[in-house]
Amino acid sequence: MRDYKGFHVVRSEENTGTSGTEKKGSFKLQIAKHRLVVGIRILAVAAVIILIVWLLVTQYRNQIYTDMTVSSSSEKISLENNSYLSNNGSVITYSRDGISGTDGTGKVLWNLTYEMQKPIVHQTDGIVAVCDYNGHIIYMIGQGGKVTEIDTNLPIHDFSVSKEERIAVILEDSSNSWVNLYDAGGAKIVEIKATMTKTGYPLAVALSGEVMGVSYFYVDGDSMRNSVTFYNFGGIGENTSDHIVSSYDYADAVVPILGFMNSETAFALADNRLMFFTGSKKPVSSSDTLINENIVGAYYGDTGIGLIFYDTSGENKYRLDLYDTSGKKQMSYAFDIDFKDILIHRGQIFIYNEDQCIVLDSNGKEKYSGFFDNKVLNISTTDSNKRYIAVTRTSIETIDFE
Amino acid sequence: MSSVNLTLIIGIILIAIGIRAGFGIGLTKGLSHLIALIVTVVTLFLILMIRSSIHYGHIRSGIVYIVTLVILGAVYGVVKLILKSAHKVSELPILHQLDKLAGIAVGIMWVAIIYMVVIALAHRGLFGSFGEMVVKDVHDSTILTYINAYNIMMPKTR
Repeated sequence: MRDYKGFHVVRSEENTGTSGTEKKGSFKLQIAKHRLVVGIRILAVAAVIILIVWLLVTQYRNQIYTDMTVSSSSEKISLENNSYLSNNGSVITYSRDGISGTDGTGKVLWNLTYEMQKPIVHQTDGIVAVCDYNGHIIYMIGQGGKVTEIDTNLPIHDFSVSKEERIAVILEDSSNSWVNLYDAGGAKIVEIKATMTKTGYPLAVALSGEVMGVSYFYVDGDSMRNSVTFYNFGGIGENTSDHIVSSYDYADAVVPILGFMNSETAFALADNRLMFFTGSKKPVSSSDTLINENIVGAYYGDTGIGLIFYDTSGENKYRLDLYDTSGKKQMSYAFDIDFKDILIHRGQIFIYNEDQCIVLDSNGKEKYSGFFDNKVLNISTTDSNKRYIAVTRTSIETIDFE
Repeated sequence: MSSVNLTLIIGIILIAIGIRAGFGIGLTKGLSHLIALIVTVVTLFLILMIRSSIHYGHIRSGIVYIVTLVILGAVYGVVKLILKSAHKVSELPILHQLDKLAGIAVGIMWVAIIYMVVIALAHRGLFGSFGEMVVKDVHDSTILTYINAYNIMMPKTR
Protein backbone atom coordinates (compact mmCIF):
# COMPACT_ATOMS: atom_id res chain seq x y z
CA MET A 1 0.00 0.00 0.00
CA ARG A 2 1.26 3.45 -0.87
CA ASP A 3 2.19 5.81 1.89
CA TYR A 4 0.41 9.18 1.50
CA LYS A 5 1.91 10.64 4.62
CA GLY A 6 2.93 14.26 4.27
CA PHE A 7 0.06 15.01 1.82
CA HIS A 8 -2.98 17.00 2.82
CA VAL A 9 -5.92 18.63 1.05
CA VAL A 10 -5.05 22.18 -0.01
CA ARG A 11 -7.89 24.49 0.91
CA SER A 12 -8.66 27.50 -1.28
CA GLU A 13 -7.73 29.95 1.49
CA GLU A 14 -4.31 28.35 1.74
CA ASN A 15 -3.81 28.14 -2.05
CA THR A 16 -4.77 31.59 -3.26
CA GLY A 17 -5.29 33.54 -0.21
CA THR A 18 -8.82 34.49 -1.45
CA SER A 19 -11.93 33.63 0.47
CA GLY A 20 -14.32 30.85 -0.69
CA THR A 21 -17.15 33.32 -1.28
CA GLU A 22 -14.97 35.49 -3.53
CA LYS A 23 -13.84 32.46 -5.51
CA LYS A 24 -17.42 31.26 -5.91
CA GLY A 25 -18.46 34.71 -7.14
CA SER A 26 -15.62 34.75 -9.66
CA PHE A 27 -16.68 31.34 -11.00
CA LYS A 28 -20.24 32.53 -11.34
CA LEU A 29 -19.04 35.58 -13.23
CA GLN A 30 -16.96 33.42 -15.54
CA ILE A 31 -19.91 31.10 -16.18
CA ALA A 32 -22.15 34.09 -16.92
CA LYS A 33 -19.54 35.51 -19.30
CA HIS A 34 -19.19 32.15 -21.02
CA ARG A 35 -22.95 31.84 -21.38
CA LEU A 36 -23.15 35.34 -22.81
CA VAL A 37 -20.43 34.59 -25.38
CA VAL A 38 -22.12 31.32 -26.36
CA GLY A 39 -25.52 33.06 -26.55
CA ILE A 40 -24.15 35.86 -28.75
CA ARG A 41 -22.44 33.27 -30.97
CA ILE A 42 -25.67 31.27 -31.36
CA LEU A 43 -27.65 34.43 -32.13
CA ALA A 44 -25.06 35.57 -34.67
CA VAL A 45 -25.06 32.20 -36.45
CA ALA A 46 -28.89 32.09 -36.38
CA ALA A 47 -29.02 35.62 -37.84
CA VAL A 48 -26.58 34.67 -40.61
CA ILE A 49 -28.61 31.52 -41.39
CA ILE A 50 -31.90 33.45 -41.49
CA LEU A 51 -30.38 36.16 -43.69
CA ILE A 52 -28.92 33.63 -46.13
CA VAL A 53 -32.22 31.70 -46.33
CA TRP A 54 -34.15 34.94 -46.81
CA LEU A 55 -31.75 36.04 -49.55
CA LEU A 56 -31.92 32.67 -51.31
CA VAL A 57 -35.73 32.55 -51.16
CA THR A 58 -36.17 36.11 -52.44
CA GLN A 59 -33.52 35.42 -55.05
CA TYR A 60 -35.38 32.28 -56.13
CA ARG A 61 -38.72 34.10 -56.28
CA ASN A 62 -37.48 37.26 -57.97
CA GLN A 63 -35.16 35.51 -60.36
CA ILE A 64 -34.81 37.22 -63.71
CA TYR A 65 -34.20 35.13 -66.79
CA THR A 66 -31.43 36.33 -69.05
CA ASP A 67 -31.75 33.75 -71.78
CA MET A 68 -34.23 31.35 -73.38
CA THR A 69 -32.78 28.23 -74.99
CA VAL A 70 -34.20 25.15 -76.72
CA SER A 71 -32.88 22.20 -74.72
CA SER A 72 -34.52 19.47 -76.81
CA SER A 73 -36.51 19.25 -79.99
CA SER A 74 -38.52 16.47 -81.60
CA GLU A 75 -37.92 15.26 -85.15
CA LYS A 76 -39.56 17.33 -87.83
CA ILE A 77 -43.28 16.69 -87.93
CA SER A 78 -46.18 18.63 -89.34
CA LEU A 79 -48.08 20.23 -86.51
CA GLU A 80 -50.21 22.72 -88.38
CA ASN A 81 -53.98 22.36 -88.77
CA ASN A 82 -54.31 21.10 -85.21
CA SER A 83 -55.49 22.68 -82.02
CA TYR A 84 -53.52 22.53 -78.80
CA LEU A 85 -54.17 22.61 -75.12
CA SER A 86 -51.64 23.17 -72.38
CA ASN A 87 -51.39 20.19 -70.09
CA ASN A 88 -48.85 20.36 -67.30
CA GLY A 89 -45.79 18.42 -68.54
CA SER A 90 -47.28 17.50 -71.91
CA VAL A 91 -49.16 18.90 -74.88
CA ILE A 92 -52.63 17.85 -75.97
CA THR A 93 -53.00 17.96 -79.74
CA TYR A 94 -56.47 17.57 -81.19
CA SER A 95 -58.32 17.91 -84.43
CA ARG A 96 -61.55 16.68 -85.99
CA ASP A 97 -59.98 13.24 -86.44
CA GLY A 98 -58.37 12.52 -83.10
CA ILE A 99 -56.53 13.60 -80.00
CA SER A 100 -53.10 12.79 -78.56
CA GLY A 101 -50.87 13.61 -75.63
CA THR A 102 -47.21 14.30 -76.35
CA ASP A 103 -44.31 14.95 -74.00
CA GLY A 104 -41.61 17.59 -74.42
CA THR A 105 -39.46 15.33 -76.58
CA GLY A 106 -42.25 14.68 -79.08
CA LYS A 107 -42.97 11.17 -77.77
CA VAL A 108 -46.66 10.31 -78.11
CA LEU A 109 -47.94 9.27 -74.67
CA TRP A 110 -51.42 8.28 -75.80
CA ASN A 111 -53.73 8.84 -78.73
CA LEU A 112 -57.34 8.34 -79.69
CA THR A 113 -59.06 8.57 -83.05
CA TYR A 114 -62.62 9.74 -83.59
CA GLU A 115 -64.67 11.87 -85.96
CA MET A 116 -66.03 15.10 -84.58
CA GLN A 117 -67.21 18.33 -86.16
CA LYS A 118 -66.32 20.71 -83.35
CA PRO A 119 -64.32 18.99 -80.62
CA ILE A 120 -64.28 20.56 -77.16
CA VAL A 121 -61.43 19.52 -74.87
CA HIS A 122 -61.03 20.07 -71.14
CA GLN A 123 -58.30 18.79 -68.84
CA THR A 124 -57.51 18.78 -65.13
CA ASP A 125 -54.29 17.44 -63.65
CA GLY A 126 -53.60 15.13 -66.58
CA ILE A 127 -57.18 13.84 -66.96
CA VAL A 128 -58.42 14.83 -70.42
CA ALA A 129 -61.94 14.69 -71.81
CA VAL A 130 -63.13 15.42 -75.34
CA CYS A 131 -66.55 15.61 -76.91
CA ASP A 132 -68.23 17.06 -79.95
CA TYR A 133 -70.22 20.23 -79.35
CA ASN A 134 -73.86 19.10 -79.36
CA GLY A 135 -72.69 15.49 -79.64
CA HIS A 136 -73.51 12.84 -77.06
CA ILE A 137 -70.27 10.92 -76.62
CA ILE A 138 -67.50 11.98 -74.25
CA TYR A 139 -64.12 10.28 -74.24
CA MET A 140 -62.26 10.57 -70.96
CA ILE A 141 -58.55 9.77 -71.09
CA GLY A 142 -57.22 8.95 -67.64
CA GLN A 143 -53.73 8.42 -66.31
CA GLY A 144 -51.73 6.12 -68.57
CA GLY A 145 -54.03 6.74 -71.54
CA LYS A 146 -56.96 4.61 -70.33
CA VAL A 147 -60.04 5.66 -72.33
CA THR A 148 -63.57 5.69 -70.93
CA GLU A 149 -66.44 6.30 -73.33
CA ILE A 150 -69.54 7.96 -71.91
CA ASP A 151 -72.77 8.16 -73.87
CA THR A 152 -74.97 10.93 -72.51
CA ASN A 153 -77.84 10.26 -74.97
CA LEU A 154 -78.51 14.00 -75.10
CA PRO A 155 -76.61 16.85 -76.80
CA ILE A 156 -73.72 18.14 -74.70
CA HIS A 157 -73.59 21.85 -74.05
CA ASP A 158 -70.65 22.05 -71.61
CA PHE A 159 -68.71 19.77 -69.31
CA SER A 160 -66.01 19.69 -66.66
CA VAL A 161 -63.59 16.94 -65.68
CA SER A 162 -61.96 16.40 -62.29
CA LYS A 163 -58.71 14.73 -61.31
CA GLU A 164 -60.78 11.97 -59.67
CA GLU A 165 -61.85 11.04 -63.23
CA ARG A 166 -65.41 12.25 -62.85
CA ILE A 167 -67.26 14.27 -65.45
CA ALA A 168 -70.05 16.80 -64.91
CA VAL A 169 -72.04 17.56 -68.05
CA ILE A 170 -74.67 20.09 -69.06
CA LEU A 171 -77.09 18.46 -71.47
CA GLU A 172 -80.02 19.86 -73.39
CA ASP A 173 -83.10 18.40 -74.95
CA SER A 174 -85.93 20.25 -76.63
CA SER A 175 -87.64 21.31 -73.41
CA ASN A 176 -85.22 20.92 -70.48
CA SER A 177 -81.62 21.02 -69.46
CA TRP A 178 -79.84 18.43 -67.35
CA VAL A 179 -76.75 18.49 -65.20
CA ASN A 180 -75.39 14.96 -64.93
CA LEU A 181 -72.41 13.53 -63.13
CA TYR A 182 -70.53 10.44 -64.35
CA ASP A 183 -67.94 8.41 -62.44
CA ALA A 184 -64.59 7.04 -63.65
CA GLY A 185 -66.30 3.96 -65.12
CA GLY A 186 -68.71 6.09 -67.15
CA ALA A 187 -71.77 5.32 -64.98
CA LYS A 188 -74.26 8.10 -64.33
CA ILE A 189 -74.29 8.84 -60.58
CA VAL A 190 -76.23 12.11 -60.46
CA GLU A 191 -78.96 13.59 -62.62
CA ILE A 192 -80.33 17.09 -62.00
CA LYS A 193 -83.21 18.36 -64.08
CA ALA A 194 -82.85 22.09 -64.66
CA THR A 195 -85.75 24.26 -65.71
CA MET A 196 -86.02 28.02 -66.15
CA THR A 197 -88.76 28.22 -63.54
CA LYS A 198 -87.18 26.05 -60.83
CA THR A 199 -83.38 26.20 -61.00
CA GLY A 200 -82.64 28.38 -64.00
CA TYR A 201 -80.76 27.61 -67.19
CA PRO A 202 -77.34 26.01 -66.55
CA LEU A 203 -74.60 28.08 -68.18
CA ALA A 204 -71.43 26.57 -66.75
CA VAL A 205 -70.33 23.65 -64.61
CA ALA A 206 -67.17 22.98 -62.60
CA LEU A 207 -66.04 19.92 -60.71
CA SER A 208 -63.48 19.24 -57.99
CA GLY A 209 -63.48 16.21 -55.70
CA GLU A 210 -66.94 15.75 -54.22
CA VAL A 211 -68.05 19.27 -55.08
CA MET A 212 -69.80 20.39 -58.24
CA GLY A 213 -70.56 24.03 -58.98
CA VAL A 214 -73.23 25.09 -61.46
CA SER A 215 -74.00 28.56 -62.75
CA TYR A 216 -77.75 28.96 -63.34
CA PHE A 217 -79.18 31.88 -65.27
CA TYR A 218 -82.79 32.83 -64.67
CA VAL A 219 -85.26 35.67 -65.10
CA ASP A 220 -87.05 37.07 -62.09
CA GLY A 221 -89.84 39.43 -63.12
CA ASP A 222 -88.18 41.86 -65.47
CA SER A 223 -84.65 41.41 -64.15
CA MET A 224 -82.10 38.80 -65.11
CA ARG A 225 -80.30 37.02 -62.31
CA ASN A 226 -77.67 34.37 -61.93
CA SER A 227 -77.09 31.93 -59.14
CA VAL A 228 -73.94 29.95 -58.40
CA THR A 229 -74.84 26.72 -56.64
CA PHE A 230 -72.48 24.19 -55.10
CA TYR A 231 -73.44 20.56 -54.64
CA ASN A 232 -71.57 18.08 -52.46
CA PHE A 233 -71.97 14.43 -53.40
CA GLY A 234 -69.97 13.16 -50.45
CA GLY A 235 -70.87 12.77 -46.78
CA ILE A 236 -71.56 16.47 -46.14
CA GLY A 237 -74.06 16.78 -48.99
CA GLU A 238 -76.12 13.80 -47.78
CA ASN A 239 -77.57 15.88 -44.95
CA THR A 240 -78.61 18.80 -47.15
CA SER A 241 -81.55 19.30 -49.46
CA ASP A 242 -80.71 18.09 -53.00
CA HIS A 243 -77.03 17.92 -51.94
CA ILE A 244 -76.86 21.73 -52.17
CA VAL A 245 -74.28 22.99 -49.68
CA SER A 246 -74.22 26.65 -50.72
CA SER A 247 -75.86 28.91 -53.26
CA TYR A 248 -75.40 32.60 -54.08
CA ASP A 249 -77.60 34.87 -56.16
CA TYR A 250 -76.40 37.79 -58.21
CA ALA A 251 -78.66 40.41 -59.72
CA ASP A 252 -78.07 41.79 -63.22
CA ALA A 253 -75.22 39.35 -63.85
CA VAL A 254 -74.54 36.54 -66.28
CA VAL A 255 -71.93 34.00 -65.10
CA PRO A 256 -70.63 32.06 -68.11
CA ILE A 257 -67.33 31.01 -66.52
CA LEU A 258 -67.05 28.89 -63.40
CA GLY A 259 -63.96 26.97 -62.35
CA PHE A 260 -61.84 25.50 -59.59
CA MET A 261 -58.34 26.96 -59.32
CA ASN A 262 -57.39 24.26 -56.83
CA SER A 263 -59.28 21.91 -54.50
CA GLU A 264 -59.88 24.77 -52.01
CA THR A 265 -60.79 27.65 -54.31
CA ALA A 266 -63.50 28.16 -56.90
CA PHE A 267 -64.23 31.29 -58.87
CA ALA A 268 -67.07 32.59 -60.97
CA LEU A 269 -66.70 35.28 -63.58
CA ALA A 270 -69.65 37.38 -64.66
CA ASP A 271 -69.66 40.16 -67.20
CA ASN A 272 -69.54 42.68 -64.35
CA ARG A 273 -68.06 40.91 -61.31
CA LEU A 274 -65.56 38.35 -60.13
CA MET A 275 -66.46 36.08 -57.25
CA PHE A 276 -64.33 33.68 -55.20
CA PHE A 277 -65.45 30.78 -53.05
CA THR A 278 -63.35 28.95 -50.47
CA GLY A 279 -63.75 25.43 -49.08
CA SER A 280 -63.14 21.97 -50.45
CA LYS A 281 -66.40 20.51 -49.07
CA LYS A 282 -68.70 23.50 -48.78
CA PRO A 283 -67.51 26.48 -50.83
CA VAL A 284 -68.52 29.78 -49.27
CA SER A 285 -68.22 33.21 -50.80
CA SER A 286 -64.89 34.76 -49.83
CA SER A 287 -64.66 37.69 -52.20
CA ASP A 288 -66.85 39.61 -54.63
CA THR A 289 -65.31 42.28 -56.84
CA LEU A 290 -67.34 44.50 -59.13
CA ILE A 291 -65.84 45.17 -62.54
CA ASN A 292 -66.72 48.31 -64.43
CA GLU A 293 -64.74 47.69 -67.61
CA ASN A 294 -65.22 45.40 -70.57
CA ILE A 295 -63.36 42.14 -70.02
CA VAL A 296 -61.36 41.18 -73.11
CA GLY A 297 -60.28 37.80 -71.79
CA ALA A 298 -59.93 35.71 -68.65
CA TYR A 299 -57.17 33.21 -67.93
CA TYR A 300 -56.74 31.22 -64.78
CA GLY A 301 -54.31 28.78 -63.24
CA ASP A 302 -53.50 27.24 -59.89
CA THR A 303 -52.35 30.49 -58.31
CA GLY A 304 -54.63 33.14 -59.71
CA ILE A 305 -56.90 34.50 -62.38
CA GLY A 306 -55.87 37.15 -64.87
CA LEU A 307 -58.43 39.46 -66.43
CA ILE A 308 -57.50 41.29 -69.60
CA PHE A 309 -58.82 44.78 -70.31
CA TYR A 310 -58.01 47.39 -72.92
CA ASP A 311 -55.50 49.79 -71.44
CA THR A 312 -57.46 52.98 -70.97
CA SER A 313 -54.35 55.07 -70.27
CA GLY A 314 -53.54 54.85 -73.98
CA GLU A 315 -49.88 53.97 -73.34
CA ASN A 316 -50.34 50.27 -74.00
CA LYS A 317 -52.79 48.03 -75.77
CA TYR A 318 -53.85 45.75 -72.93
CA ARG A 319 -53.82 45.56 -69.18
CA LEU A 320 -53.66 42.39 -67.13
CA ASP A 321 -55.17 42.47 -63.63
CA LEU A 322 -54.12 39.47 -61.58
CA TYR A 323 -56.25 38.26 -58.67
CA ASP A 324 -54.88 35.69 -56.23
CA THR A 325 -56.84 32.73 -54.84
CA SER A 326 -58.27 34.89 -52.04
CA GLY A 327 -59.72 37.31 -54.58
CA LYS A 328 -57.24 40.05 -53.77
CA LYS A 329 -55.94 42.04 -56.72
CA GLN A 330 -52.23 41.34 -56.78
CA MET A 331 -51.04 43.50 -59.62
CA SER A 332 -51.75 45.29 -62.88
CA TYR A 333 -49.47 44.96 -65.85
CA ALA A 334 -49.86 46.84 -69.12
CA PHE A 335 -48.47 45.31 -72.28
CA ASP A 336 -48.51 45.75 -76.02
CA ILE A 337 -48.20 42.34 -77.63
CA ASP A 338 -51.18 40.78 -79.37
CA PHE A 339 -51.31 37.72 -77.17
CA LYS A 340 -52.46 34.30 -78.23
CA ASP A 341 -52.71 32.77 -74.77
CA ILE A 342 -51.76 33.49 -71.17
CA LEU A 343 -50.61 30.79 -68.75
CA ILE A 344 -50.77 31.27 -64.99
CA HIS A 345 -48.85 28.56 -63.22
CA ARG A 346 -46.89 28.31 -59.97
CA GLY A 347 -47.09 32.06 -59.40
CA GLN A 348 -45.67 32.86 -62.83
CA ILE A 349 -47.48 34.45 -65.77
CA PHE A 350 -46.52 33.58 -69.34
CA ILE A 351 -47.96 35.86 -72.05
CA TYR A 352 -47.20 34.83 -75.60
CA ASN A 353 -48.02 34.93 -79.26
CA GLU A 354 -46.42 33.20 -82.26
CA ASP A 355 -43.27 35.31 -82.14
CA GLN A 356 -42.60 36.53 -78.63
CA CYS A 357 -43.28 36.04 -74.96
CA ILE A 358 -43.28 37.92 -71.67
CA VAL A 359 -42.75 36.15 -68.35
CA LEU A 360 -43.91 37.89 -65.17
CA ASP A 361 -43.92 37.06 -61.51
CA SER A 362 -47.09 37.44 -59.46
CA ASN A 363 -46.09 40.97 -58.46
CA GLY A 364 -45.97 42.07 -62.09
CA LYS A 365 -42.19 42.13 -62.25
CA GLU A 366 -40.94 41.29 -65.75
CA LYS A 367 -38.73 38.22 -65.53
CA TYR A 368 -38.18 37.81 -69.25
CA SER A 369 -39.22 39.39 -72.51
CA GLY A 370 -37.99 38.09 -75.82
CA PHE A 371 -38.59 36.45 -79.17
CA PHE A 372 -38.88 32.78 -80.07
CA ASP A 373 -36.50 31.33 -82.68
CA ASN A 374 -39.39 29.56 -84.45
CA LYS A 375 -43.06 30.44 -84.80
CA VAL A 376 -44.88 29.03 -81.79
CA LEU A 377 -48.38 27.57 -81.99
CA ASN A 378 -48.79 26.63 -78.34
CA ILE A 379 -46.99 26.67 -75.00
CA SER A 380 -47.52 24.17 -72.18
CA THR A 381 -46.37 24.44 -68.59
CA THR A 382 -44.23 21.86 -66.78
CA ASP A 383 -43.45 21.22 -63.11
CA SER A 384 -40.66 23.77 -63.34
CA ASN A 385 -41.09 27.53 -63.70
CA LYS A 386 -37.98 27.59 -65.85
CA ARG A 387 -39.18 25.04 -68.40
CA TYR A 388 -42.01 25.13 -70.92
CA ILE A 389 -43.01 22.95 -73.85
CA ALA A 390 -43.46 24.79 -77.14
CA VAL A 391 -45.26 23.49 -80.21
CA THR A 392 -43.82 25.08 -83.33
CA ARG A 393 -44.99 24.48 -86.88
CA THR A 394 -42.58 21.60 -87.37
CA SER A 395 -41.55 20.27 -83.99
CA ILE A 396 -42.16 20.09 -80.27
CA GLU A 397 -39.45 21.85 -78.31
CA THR A 398 -38.52 22.06 -74.65
CA ILE A 399 -37.54 25.62 -73.83
CA ASP A 400 -35.52 26.50 -70.76
CA PHE A 401 -35.02 29.87 -69.12
CA GLU A 402 -31.68 30.69 -67.53
CA MET B 1 -13.02 51.40 -62.70
CA SER B 2 -10.66 52.04 -59.82
CA SER B 3 -9.01 49.13 -58.04
CA VAL B 4 -8.92 50.11 -54.39
CA ASN B 5 -11.75 51.48 -52.28
CA LEU B 6 -13.08 51.26 -48.71
CA THR B 7 -15.17 48.12 -49.32
CA LEU B 8 -12.16 46.35 -50.81
CA ILE B 9 -9.97 47.41 -47.87
CA ILE B 10 -12.61 46.15 -45.40
CA GLY B 11 -12.75 42.92 -47.42
CA ILE B 12 -8.96 42.49 -47.18
CA ILE B 13 -9.05 43.12 -43.41
CA LEU B 14 -11.86 40.56 -43.09
CA ILE B 15 -9.84 38.05 -45.09
CA ALA B 16 -6.90 38.59 -42.73
CA ILE B 17 -9.23 37.94 -39.77
CA GLY B 18 -10.60 34.89 -41.59
CA ILE B 19 -7.09 33.55 -42.18
CA ARG B 20 -6.22 34.00 -38.49
CA ALA B 21 -9.46 32.39 -37.33
CA GLY B 22 -9.19 29.58 -39.88
CA PHE B 23 -5.60 28.82 -38.81
CA GLY B 24 -6.69 28.75 -35.18
CA ILE B 25 -9.62 26.41 -35.70
CA GLY B 26 -8.13 24.07 -38.31
CA LEU B 27 -9.54 22.47 -41.45
CA THR B 28 -11.61 19.60 -40.04
CA LYS B 29 -13.32 21.60 -37.31
CA GLY B 30 -13.80 24.66 -39.54
CA LEU B 31 -15.16 22.55 -42.38
CA SER B 32 -17.50 20.79 -39.98
CA HIS B 33 -18.95 24.17 -38.89
CA LEU B 34 -19.17 25.42 -42.45
CA ILE B 35 -20.97 22.30 -43.68
CA ALA B 36 -23.36 22.49 -40.72
CA LEU B 37 -24.20 26.07 -41.73
CA ILE B 38 -24.73 25.13 -45.38
CA VAL B 39 -26.87 22.10 -44.46
CA THR B 40 -29.00 24.25 -42.12
CA VAL B 41 -29.53 26.84 -44.84
CA VAL B 42 -30.40 24.23 -47.48
CA THR B 43 -32.72 22.42 -45.03
CA LEU B 44 -34.63 25.61 -44.22
CA PHE B 45 -34.82 26.45 -47.93
CA LEU B 46 -36.18 22.98 -48.74
CA ILE B 47 -38.73 23.20 -45.91
CA LEU B 48 -39.99 26.50 -47.34
CA MET B 49 -40.19 24.94 -50.81
CA ILE B 50 -42.11 21.92 -49.44
CA ARG B 51 -44.53 24.29 -47.70
CA SER B 52 -44.99 26.26 -50.90
CA SER B 53 -45.51 23.06 -52.96
CA ILE B 54 -48.18 21.81 -50.54
CA HIS B 55 -49.85 25.23 -50.54
CA TYR B 56 -50.15 25.24 -54.34
CA GLY B 57 -50.95 21.52 -54.55
CA HIS B 58 -47.75 20.66 -56.47
CA ILE B 59 -47.43 17.20 -55.00
CA ARG B 60 -44.71 15.99 -57.40
CA SER B 61 -42.44 18.93 -56.60
CA GLY B 62 -43.17 18.47 -52.89
CA ILE B 63 -42.11 14.82 -53.07
CA VAL B 64 -38.90 15.79 -54.92
CA TYR B 65 -38.06 18.32 -52.17
CA ILE B 66 -38.82 15.79 -49.41
CA VAL B 67 -36.62 13.14 -51.07
CA THR B 68 -33.85 15.75 -51.47
CA LEU B 69 -34.18 16.61 -47.78
CA VAL B 70 -33.91 12.95 -46.76
CA ILE B 71 -30.85 12.43 -49.03
CA LEU B 72 -29.28 15.60 -47.63
CA GLY B 73 -29.80 14.32 -44.09
CA ALA B 74 -28.23 10.95 -44.94
CA VAL B 75 -25.26 12.50 -46.76
CA TYR B 76 -24.72 14.96 -43.91
CA GLY B 77 -24.70 12.09 -41.42
CA VAL B 78 -21.94 10.33 -43.38
CA VAL B 79 -19.93 13.54 -43.92
CA LYS B 80 -20.18 14.36 -40.21
CA LEU B 81 -18.84 10.92 -39.33
CA ILE B 82 -15.94 11.29 -41.79
CA LEU B 83 -15.07 14.75 -40.46
CA LYS B 84 -15.18 13.53 -36.86
CA SER B 85 -12.71 10.75 -37.70
CA ALA B 86 -10.57 13.17 -39.71
CA HIS B 87 -10.50 15.54 -36.74
CA LYS B 88 -9.16 12.77 -34.50
CA VAL B 89 -6.47 11.95 -37.08
CA SER B 90 -5.59 15.63 -37.46
CA GLU B 91 -4.55 15.77 -33.80
CA LEU B 92 -1.46 13.72 -34.65
CA PRO B 93 1.86 15.60 -34.89
CA ILE B 94 2.69 17.17 -38.29
CA LEU B 95 -0.90 16.53 -39.42
CA HIS B 96 -2.01 18.97 -36.74
CA GLN B 97 0.05 21.74 -38.35
CA LEU B 98 -1.19 20.78 -41.83
CA ASP B 99 -4.75 20.87 -40.53
CA LYS B 100 -4.21 24.36 -39.13
CA LEU B 101 -2.67 25.56 -42.43
CA ALA B 102 -5.52 24.11 -44.50
CA GLY B 103 -7.93 25.78 -42.05
CA ILE B 104 -6.93 29.10 -43.66
CA ALA B 105 -8.98 28.12 -46.73
CA VAL B 106 -12.05 27.53 -44.57
CA GLY B 107 -11.52 30.89 -42.86
CA ILE B 108 -11.46 32.57 -46.28
CA MET B 109 -14.64 30.70 -47.25
CA TRP B 110 -16.40 32.03 -44.13
CA VAL B 111 -15.36 35.55 -45.06
CA ALA B 112 -16.59 34.95 -48.63
CA ILE B 113 -20.02 33.88 -47.35
CA ILE B 114 -20.32 36.89 -45.02
CA TYR B 115 -19.12 39.14 -47.86
CA MET B 116 -21.76 37.71 -50.24
CA VAL B 117 -24.53 38.19 -47.67
CA VAL B 118 -23.50 41.79 -46.94
CA ILE B 119 -23.25 42.71 -50.64
CA ALA B 120 -26.59 41.05 -51.44
CA LEU B 121 -28.28 42.86 -48.53
CA ALA B 122 -26.70 46.15 -49.59
CA HIS B 123 -28.08 45.63 -53.11
CA ARG B 124 -31.54 45.22 -51.62
CA GLY B 125 -31.16 48.61 -49.94
CA LEU B 126 -31.11 47.30 -46.37
CA PHE B 127 -28.14 49.30 -45.09
CA GLY B 128 -29.15 52.80 -46.20
CA SER B 129 -26.28 55.10 -47.19
CA PHE B 130 -23.66 52.56 -46.10
CA GLY B 131 -25.26 50.02 -48.44
CA GLU B 132 -25.26 52.54 -51.28
CA MET B 133 -21.54 53.11 -50.72
CA VAL B 134 -20.90 49.36 -50.77
CA VAL B 135 -22.89 48.94 -54.01
CA LYS B 136 -20.98 51.81 -55.61
CA ASP B 137 -17.63 50.44 -54.43
CA VAL B 138 -18.44 46.99 -55.83
CA HIS B 139 -19.44 48.55 -59.14
CA ASP B 140 -16.28 50.68 -59.25
CA SER B 141 -13.83 47.92 -58.38
CA THR B 142 -12.75 45.37 -61.00
CA ILE B 143 -11.83 42.79 -58.36
CA LEU B 144 -15.06 43.19 -56.37
CA THR B 145 -17.16 43.09 -59.54
CA TYR B 146 -15.40 39.90 -60.60
CA ILE B 147 -15.91 38.25 -57.19
CA ASN B 148 -19.52 39.44 -57.05
CA ALA B 149 -20.27 37.74 -60.38
CA TYR B 150 -20.18 34.46 -58.40
CA ASN B 151 -22.49 35.74 -55.66
CA ILE B 152 -25.51 33.43 -55.88
CA MET B 153 -27.51 35.68 -53.57
CA MET B 154 -27.26 38.68 -55.89
CA PRO B 155 -30.34 39.72 -57.88
CA LYS B 156 -29.72 39.17 -61.60
CA THR B 157 -30.07 42.03 -64.05
CA ARG B 158 -30.63 41.88 -67.77
